Amino acid sequence: MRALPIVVVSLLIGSSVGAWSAYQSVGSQRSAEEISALRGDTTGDESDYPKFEIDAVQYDFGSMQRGTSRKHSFKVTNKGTKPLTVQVVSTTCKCTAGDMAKNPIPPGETEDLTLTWVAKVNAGTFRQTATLETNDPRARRVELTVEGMVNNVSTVEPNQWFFDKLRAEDQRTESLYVMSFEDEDLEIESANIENPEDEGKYNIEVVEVPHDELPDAKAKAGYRVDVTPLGKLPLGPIHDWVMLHTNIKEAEELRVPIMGTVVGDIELRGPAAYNDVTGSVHFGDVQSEEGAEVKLFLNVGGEHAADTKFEVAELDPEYLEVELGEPRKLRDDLYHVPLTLRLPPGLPPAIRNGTGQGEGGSVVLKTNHPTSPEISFGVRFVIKGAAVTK
Amino acid sequence: MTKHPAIRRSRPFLVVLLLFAAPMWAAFAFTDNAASETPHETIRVGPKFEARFVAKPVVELAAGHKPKPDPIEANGPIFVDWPKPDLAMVFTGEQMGFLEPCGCAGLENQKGGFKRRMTMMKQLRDQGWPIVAMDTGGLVRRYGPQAQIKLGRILEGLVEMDYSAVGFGEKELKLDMLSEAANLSPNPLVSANVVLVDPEFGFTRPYRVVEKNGFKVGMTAVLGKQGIASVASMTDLVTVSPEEGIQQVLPKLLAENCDEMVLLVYGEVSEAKALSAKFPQFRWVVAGKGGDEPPKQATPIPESGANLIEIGHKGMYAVVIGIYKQGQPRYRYQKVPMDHRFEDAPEMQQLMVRYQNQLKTLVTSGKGWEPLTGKPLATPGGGSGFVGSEVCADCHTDACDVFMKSPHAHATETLVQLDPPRHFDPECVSCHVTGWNPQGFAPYVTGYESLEKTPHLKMQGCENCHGPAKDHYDAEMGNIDATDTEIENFRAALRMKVVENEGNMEGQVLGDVVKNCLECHDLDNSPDFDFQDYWDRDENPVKHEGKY
Repeated sequence: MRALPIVVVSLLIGSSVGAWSAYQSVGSQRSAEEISALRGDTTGDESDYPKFEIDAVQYDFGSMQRGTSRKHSFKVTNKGTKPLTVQVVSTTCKCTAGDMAKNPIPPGETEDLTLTWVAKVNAGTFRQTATLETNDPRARRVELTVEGMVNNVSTVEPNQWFFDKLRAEDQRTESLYVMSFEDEDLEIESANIENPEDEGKYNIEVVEVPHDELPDAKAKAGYRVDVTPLGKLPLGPIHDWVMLHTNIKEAEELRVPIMGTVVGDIELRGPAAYNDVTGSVHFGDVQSEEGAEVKLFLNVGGEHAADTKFEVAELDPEYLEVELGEPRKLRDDLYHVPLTLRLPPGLPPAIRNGTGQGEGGSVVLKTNHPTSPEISFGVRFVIKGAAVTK
Repeated sequence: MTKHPAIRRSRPFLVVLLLFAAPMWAAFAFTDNAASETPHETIRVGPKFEARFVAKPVVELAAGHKPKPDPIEANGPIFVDWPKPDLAMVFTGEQMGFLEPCGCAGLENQKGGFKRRMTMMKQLRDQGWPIVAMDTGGLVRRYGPQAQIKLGRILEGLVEMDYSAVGFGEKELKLDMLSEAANLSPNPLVSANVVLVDPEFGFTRPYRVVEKNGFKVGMTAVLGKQGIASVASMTDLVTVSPEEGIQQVLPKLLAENCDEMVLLVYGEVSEAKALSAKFPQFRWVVAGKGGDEPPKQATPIPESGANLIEIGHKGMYAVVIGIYKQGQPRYRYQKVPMDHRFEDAPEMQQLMVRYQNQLKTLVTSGKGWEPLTGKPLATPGGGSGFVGSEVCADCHTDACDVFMKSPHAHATETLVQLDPPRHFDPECVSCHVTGWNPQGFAPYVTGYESLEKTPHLKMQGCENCHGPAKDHYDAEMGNIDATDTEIENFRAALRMKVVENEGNMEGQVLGDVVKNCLECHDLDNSPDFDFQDYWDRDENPVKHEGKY
């Protein structure tokens, strides 16, 4: 029975300590009037407060050159009877707000709030904001906006040479334009392939063009740069670079990519699961009970496109499933043959990821194409079994 | 058996002890201790570095630099005084490949990302808001295998968020969109003027009508004329002008008697307005290439009476239109910043894990980085290559002291410790290791390959700024025969000088040193970068000068 008073005393002591600790962290209760004053609620005479007024919340700067900066001062006036505090709580990332000379602003006075922004964007619509908080209860939060159009000093359009499905023997030319919007004396001093190992793979020609050929009517001068592959590119993705040297101060050196793909008459295409460099479909980790499936295409081009047929010759492992669909004609010289590759559900665990842990699998298709009798690609996967529980 | 008196007397004290000890134990037991649960690889620097000093973890450095901002204070409250709408249309677009908030300079300071977007949409749906989500397109901004993988994941994410319509930007059309569309189920791709292969194959729809909560929403999308011109040579596509495309689908949409009609335009604001004037039947016109920030309100288009919506860039915002059957106003507009008021949705975290695992699978497939980046780039300056910061430390001890205390020394470590780890992602690795082209997202020959193969090329090392140093090192060590002139030339090639008032802010001189910094400290990844501040700050400066 002596235990009971000890328990009660312990609880009282513990509660007291806890309450004291809580009071220390939370603080004393404030009266309703004190809370209202802290919040700045409008009660009573409305003239007894600071009053925020601004000449405009939005400024249209018209246009500016890319990479340059501008500033604009918004005029903030305190039309109230108490000091007005203005705090910049946030700006968007290309915009900064300067300090006002007086803050709080005394009643009846006006201060400049200056925003500075840098047009570090591509040409087009530009909009930046700054958010203010004030102690005017009728204007607690104000968003200022600057907007306008950003123009380029110069531009490259399009911004790459793109060869979609280039055949090895094609002598196709792709062009882009280098344009100046400020200077009529634009010059392209040189245009060379960046990697010395790629010399001889492309012909690059720089042509000064009349104004009406330029894709942007606002340009003052421009050149067309033509790139023509010379039939020496290997099959697969193209990712080379051209260095252009110009007399544009902000763009003396322009590094422009050549992109695309070189294809043969027969090309396997798939979503991201298929990789040109590894030549494999990468299933990754596959849960045995789920299996996996991916839809691919055989792109068949050239003069034999209409007559080319495929059949499955070899599958490793043998449990791979390949389904060939009906060819679809895109053009007389271009057909798509759908191919579905499947790991059926219920397979035993296996590592066939093409690393030291396990050799990759493969699919071999036989064709009647005169120069490509066989098409093959790799298949990489890891089949994981269901967790075993005892 | 009689209890010992000591036992009887000690019993009350034990009770008292229990009453005090129990809450203390509970407090310790349930304290968040996530750091110990996060698995990560241990990054080891070379023994020479370890012998000299212990560097502060970069997480502490970053955390100590700026306090975490309050997202509502910084970006404003949303849906203030909104009753639950009878329909909510959510608009996004111009993702530009940003699956996550742009950059890695403190996610609390930046907006965007699928994880936050999904949480926002889930929260609205949980509150009973009937949502119809639409995207203008502009999903990626690069070309190549990584962009292709990212396109697949972005489409997967949009499907998981139950988007009703996704339009096309020109950049994703230059990837293998056909193969992605063939594997997409359900397929939200909509375009009035771009068809993948042939309309009968059904890889895209020219328009769509969605019924939700008694509303019929008719939607279509067009790729603007500049985009159409840039994909004109693509063999997989059949294209017509935006006007022709809309003319073809409009009668079918009108026949559906929709309550709301939406036109998604992947084009500039001026083009969106011009199309609206031609086709005033669309009450809502969304411009995918509008300003980088959405405006505070939808912009009226006087020529058509429609409303122009701009969705911003990089997925930093969503725009929500609330529609009400009764009462005033009938329509409400909210630009919603994708900031950290929205927690990360676990489903999109899993999407990121799958994405990073797919990159890792290719990088570890036996062909190095080539499956993702293509062949390595030629060594800059044409020298023999990269040799690693550790050998610089042999002689340049003062500079090394500064370096090891800077965040640059932990750059690789930060990638490995992320969840999921990012050290198989070229877009991250390119600025977090030695010997990569930062804006090309590709390695140089002799640049970093992996933690195992090239441990000496971890860290944002000396050579990323000073250039490949193997020639200089070999000449100094006598590994090659070099004349005095050649030795001096190798040294001179690596020297850098900060000029008077060098910096990247207004009024400062944009010299060669700061231009080099800006290759990684660009607007996306380092929006607050101020060279003069970073160079000579009080805590962990980068400044070093002199021979050693």
